[in-house]
Formats: sequence, structure tokens, C-alpha cells
Amino acid sequence: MIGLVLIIVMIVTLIIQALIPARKMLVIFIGATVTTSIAATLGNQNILNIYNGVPWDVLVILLGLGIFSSLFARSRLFSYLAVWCSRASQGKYILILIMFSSIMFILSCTLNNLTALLLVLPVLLSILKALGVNQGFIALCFSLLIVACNLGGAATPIGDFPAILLMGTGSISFLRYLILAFPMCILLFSVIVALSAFYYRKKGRKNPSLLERSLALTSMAQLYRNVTIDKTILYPGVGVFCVMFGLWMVAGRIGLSPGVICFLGVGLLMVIKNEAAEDIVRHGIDFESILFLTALFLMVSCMAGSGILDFIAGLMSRYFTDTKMLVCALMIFCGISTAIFSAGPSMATMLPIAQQIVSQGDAPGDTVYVGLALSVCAGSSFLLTAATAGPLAQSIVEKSGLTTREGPSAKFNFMTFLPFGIFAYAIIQIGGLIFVLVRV
Amino acid sequence: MSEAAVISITDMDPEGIMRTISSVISELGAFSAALVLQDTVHRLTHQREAARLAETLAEYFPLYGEIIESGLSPNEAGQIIEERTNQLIEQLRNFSSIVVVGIESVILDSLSRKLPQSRFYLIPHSETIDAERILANFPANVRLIDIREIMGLGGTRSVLISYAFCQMEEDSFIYPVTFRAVGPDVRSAYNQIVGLNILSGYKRYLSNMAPLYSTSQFFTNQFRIV
Repeated sequence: MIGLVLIIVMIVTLIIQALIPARKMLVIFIGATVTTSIAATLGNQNILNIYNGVPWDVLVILLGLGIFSSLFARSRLFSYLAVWCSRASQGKYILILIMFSSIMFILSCTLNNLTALLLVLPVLLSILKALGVNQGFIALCFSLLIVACNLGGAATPIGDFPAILLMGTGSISFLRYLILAFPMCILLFSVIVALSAFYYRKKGRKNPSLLERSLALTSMAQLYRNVTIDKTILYPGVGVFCVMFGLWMVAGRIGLSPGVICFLGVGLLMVIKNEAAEDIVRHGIDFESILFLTALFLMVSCMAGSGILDFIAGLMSRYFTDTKMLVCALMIFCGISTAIFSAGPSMATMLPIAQQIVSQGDAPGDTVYVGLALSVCAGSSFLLTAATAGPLAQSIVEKSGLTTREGPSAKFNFMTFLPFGIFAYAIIQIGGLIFVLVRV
Repeated sequence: MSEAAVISITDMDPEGIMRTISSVISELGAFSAALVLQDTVHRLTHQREAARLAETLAEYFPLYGEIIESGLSPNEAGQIIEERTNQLIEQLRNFSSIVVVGIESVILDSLSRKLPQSRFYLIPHSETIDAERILANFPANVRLIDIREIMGLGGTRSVLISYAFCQMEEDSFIYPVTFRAVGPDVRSAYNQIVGLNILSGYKRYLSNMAPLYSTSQFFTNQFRIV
């Protein structure tokens, strides 16, 4: 009974925060307070057990990788790469589409999605402004970028929250996730890019004139004429990252948790680049996300303590007697709930259910968890509001003053993203289901 | 040079060209942007086509037309700017603070690098800029400031510089931000207010486009760049 009340409180909280994003922190903290109070008083749960249910390792990794991303971004390596992409595209629309989405995919593998967007979008917007583009291209280009961001995040265990949660809770090892998810994400990304390029070619859109292209490329070269890579950040950053990467690969064998490795690596880089690190810790950390997830984890911990998640897992197991059907149902449900509630709440709620299903022994854990991460990625790509990268990209495009060739302001919003979102959701979700069905 | 390329240049929509170089005008300066355009056109076509483009852009970007009318090739313009900027550097060596109203990257790039001991304070001439990108192109002794900070930076070791375009006798064209920034109070706060003269005299391109100002109303000293 208490479990049912807790789950109702959580669902209501998630719906309200999705409806009023401007007050989502307030809503989630009220939800966490109500849930914790109910669990501790009416549900007789020990408050320390509730706190212990929060995966602190995950929060440490998120915090550490956030600092690492911000420090690494100051090397200007990624802006440099984005400018190189502009030059290599020769001002041709289709090459811009392919190259910028590819670089976004690569960046999102290691940086958080927001940092990756903030680094690449200014360069992309400059070249699009200079070349002049129509509304169709704008919608396609930014939609593809968001999906590339999501797929890149899902490709590695440190790219985005769902994968970090899987690694941080010890559900799957770093190496195992990388081996299973990375090829799948590259494959899905290639399919989506190829279909997008095919669609664009079919529309028969012309490239800008020779003068426009030459002028746009010269302008870009001038706008970034003296931007150089800061090697004093790049070299130690790459060095520390390689060490962290190596330790994550063997984390299980050396007995270090992923969180501790992250702490050590980021701590070392902060000591090396102390002045920049001080500035980032004071001003550049996304504490909002960390607090949001902490409140969310408290709610999930209360629910897990009440036994309701085990009950739901048991119910699903009874209803779907075939293991493949059970895992597929979980994945589809996870994808849709991600589209509505976003990746954090969805993955945090679904993971305990998935763990329960895996513990019953019929389904291989690694496959289920990677399938779940792919479903979250599919859901994140469904609606523009499903992932934080979407609203950020919308806001940056709106503020940029980008106009179409015809003159009106460029539009990139919920509705312009939706057709591509449905297409991307279908491809990623089907890809994830095939992956699981082949392996279970 | 293919015929198609020549046709595409002369048939260009002027608004399309302006859209392409609008960021460059905002962040590099109108004169620097005109040089970028001249250089690009020079690489793609010949002088006659450059002049035809000047006609096409007459109402949109007259400064480009004035550069073409000056008869200087991109290389010649570059050499003159470099030589004159080096002379300007000698004049500015004794100043610790150099406040620059308006950005012209062809001048400021070498100025800021060759005077590393001086601090440069730039007041952009446009509001549609990417401040982070502008600063990433300059060394660490350069800062962007708001026009309201201009009085606080005055002093005997401070100089203010801005631009006077196409000066003809006593009159010249200036950036609107220069008009807003350099009043009698500011003139009294700085050791010198130097006007960098860019292109002398104006032909038919600029004459109907922008209001002319008496150069001495703004500048205590003048220095010819091109």
C-alpha cells in the first residue's frame, strides 16, 4: 500500500516537473521530501537505508566528468576541430551535415552532451549564417545533431547519465559496456546519417554559389584566425584521460570503483591546472543536474525500500513468461517513459526493475542493460524536450539570430524536431530490440 | 576561371553577400571585412568583375567600393597596413592603457601582439558579436569593455584610438560607436585621442550613405593607415 502511494507521488512529481520545467527543481525536491517523509514515517524505512540507496558513485562520476569536460573544453581542441570541419566541408551542405553530426557523436562519447553542444554550435551557426540555408536544412541539421549527441552519449560508459548509472552501480563493467554499446551506436548512427543524407539528396537542394562558399570559408577562417589549441591543457588532459580510461578498463581486477578512479583523475588534472580548475569549481559546475538527480535517487531509493519495484518486476515476469518478450516490453516502456519524463528519471526507475529481472537468471545482464541504455537513447531522441540537449539547442538557435535564405528567422522547436525524432526513435528502438533479441 | 563562376559573382544577390559577411563586419570591422571580400573576389576573378561587384554592393557595402576605387590590390593594401601599423606601434609604446573604440582586426592583431606590455581595452562597434570568439583571436593583454567604462580608464598614460574613414579635407566617416564614446568629457580624460585614417577621400560609393563628421570634433591627433 505504501509502495503504491510512493509510486503515485513519484509519477505525479515527474509529470508536474515535465509540465513546468521552469520549476522542476522545486517540484522534484518537494517530491523527494514527501516521498522520504512517507517512507520514513508510514513505511517504517530507516532514513540511513534510504540515504544508502542513493548511488553516490554515480553522482561523483557525474561531478568529476563535468569538471573534466569543462577543463578539457578550455583547450579549444573541439572548437578547432569544428572549424576544421567547416573548412573540410568546402561549404557543401551535405558535407556539413555529415561532418558536424560525426564530430558531435565523437565529442559526446567523452564529454557531456551540453558541453559538446556549447562547443560545436557556435561554429556551426557561423558557417550556416555565412552560407545561407533554408528552413528544411536547418530542421534536418539540428535534429541530426541532437540525435548524434544522444547516440554518442550512449556509446561509452562515460558519455551520458544512463551509461554512467549502469557503470556506477556496478551493473556492468566499463569494458563490457564499451564492447557491446559502442559498435551498436556507431552502426545506428551510420544508418541515421546515411538515411538523412539520402533524404537530403532526394530533395535535390543546390549548394551555394562559388563566391558564397569561398566567402563563407574565408570569413570562417578570419573569425577563427588566431584560435589555437592550448597545449598546456590538452596534453595533461589527454594524459590523465588515458590513465583514467585504462584504469576503468581494469577497475574490477584492481578493486577500484569507477567513482574513485574518476575522483583520482579529475583531482590530478585539477592540481595540474589549478587556476582554471578553481574557476570551474566556483562557476562552471552544473550543480543543478547533480541536485536534481540526488532528489530523484532519494525517491527511487524510497520506492526500492518499499518493495514496490520488486513487485512490478515480478508482475512483469508473470505477465511476460517469455524472457525475450519480457525484456522487449521493459525496453519499449523505458523508451516511451524517457520520451515523456527524460532520461534521468526513466533510467533511475527502470534500472532496479531490470536488475530484478536479471537476478531471476533468465536474461544475460549485460545485454539487458545495454538494451535499456539504447532504449533510453531512443526515447531521448523522440521528443525535443526528452533530453537536456534539445531545449539548449533550441535556445541557442533562437538567440543566434540565424535566418533562412528567404529572410525569416530560423525555427528549431518541438514541432520542427518531431518528424525526425519519430524517425530516429524508430531506428534506435528497433536496433536496440534486434540487438537484445539476437543475444538473449 | 570558368564562365559559370564569373556569372555567379556578377549575378549575386547583394543581400546574400551581406548575410555572408555580416559576422565578419561585426567582429573584424567594416574595413577588414571589405579587405576579406576584396581578397576573396580577387582570388576568384579579375579586377573588372571586382568593380562590377562594387556596383552591385554600392547601396549595401560602400566601403568595398571605395577600396576597389583606390586601386590597391589585396597584397599592396596588406603591405601598406603592415608598414603603417609598425609606425603606429612606435607612437603608442609609451602608453600603458590603449582604449580602442571599434574593432579593425587588420590593425589590432599586430598592434596587440607587438605591444605586449600595454593593456588593450576594446569597445566593439557592433552588438551582434561572439565576445568569446573575438577574445580568442587576441593575446591575453586584450579585454572587451562596455562603453560606460571608458571614463574610468583615462589618465596621462592612456590613449584612446578610433577610426576615421575616407577623410576629405575636414570631414570623415566614423563608426556610430565613436560618436557615442568620444565626447568632451572623454577628450579631457585621455592624453591623446588618435584617429586612424583609413582610405583618403571618398568617391561616389560612400557619399550618399553615411553622415559625415568633422574629424577634429573627435580626435586630438591623426595617423594615416591607408
